[in-house]
Amino acid sequence: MKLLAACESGGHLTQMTYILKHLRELREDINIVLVTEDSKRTKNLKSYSLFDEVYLLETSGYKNKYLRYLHAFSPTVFIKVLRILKKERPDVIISTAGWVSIPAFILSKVVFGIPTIYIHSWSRVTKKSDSGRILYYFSDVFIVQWPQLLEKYGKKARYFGGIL
Amino acid sequence: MIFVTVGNSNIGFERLIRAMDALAPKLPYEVIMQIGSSSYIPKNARWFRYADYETMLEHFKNAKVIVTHAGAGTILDILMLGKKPIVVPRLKKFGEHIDDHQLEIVRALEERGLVIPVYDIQKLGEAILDALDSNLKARPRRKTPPRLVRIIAELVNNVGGI
Repeated sequence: MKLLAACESGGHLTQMTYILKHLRELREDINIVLVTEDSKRTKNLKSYSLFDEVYLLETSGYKNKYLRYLHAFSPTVFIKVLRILKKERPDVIISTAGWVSIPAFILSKVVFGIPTIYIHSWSRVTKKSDSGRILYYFSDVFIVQWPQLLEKYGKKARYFGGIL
Repeated sequence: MIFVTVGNSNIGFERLIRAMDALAPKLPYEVIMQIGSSSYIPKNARWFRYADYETMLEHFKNAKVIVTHAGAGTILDILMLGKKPIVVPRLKKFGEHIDDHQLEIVRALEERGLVIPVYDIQKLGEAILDALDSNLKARPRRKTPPRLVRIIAELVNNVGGI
């Protein structure tokens, strides 16, 4: 089975790495492809045995969050992610949020019909996140890490405890 | 060594860096600060702007006490090492973050006894001295995967049928 993990760098990536390490313990047969953003931290990720392949998307560089999300919808980003998905053809996509997950989930659902699992960031206790607001509609499974968020999102949201 | 971190954000966290710099001469251990893009430069402590992930983990391991902003990834990394951080949330009113979600995560983690919160920066020194007195062990690092991950492992198998 091939799993594609899509998330922003920083705290999103820490959460993703933690989940994937445990997942590997439970399921040795999973191949993991990571799509994240180009940052100081992600430059050496290819040497990690956890990931079979790593793709880095160019960071927007904008401080303003609305411009950052505009970047997530830009044609160059969509084309790059489209190519990755076409090449890798993963069986399932999971995300721990951030802008990188937006093109990955939309293209997975709309173009490829790949099942998607969204994991809301542990950092969000009571308020919806920007990617969550959008990707609620592009997720087969939508998981929040704090129960306060269940009613904010709606019926599809599930809670199984937090990462810690 | 007392380690201070404000994460990889491109927004500075002057309030914490200034307060720590003022406290540094009064503390019994050396202070090292990761200041990010904060414009205030510490005078009484060693400092650097950013470091790679492995270097940050080394600092967390070596520190007697860790003072951090409330970045979820940073807190998670510290808790995974079995340490309990002092956490100062970045606040929107000071232009330290785009919203106040750091305040929310600190409150939620405080309820579970996982962090030492500092909501009023005046109380930071007190919190550090208390922390140095007590042994800041968090819950031991979890050996088995949390329920969330066990369920995700099931889901990646069956998700096609959902």
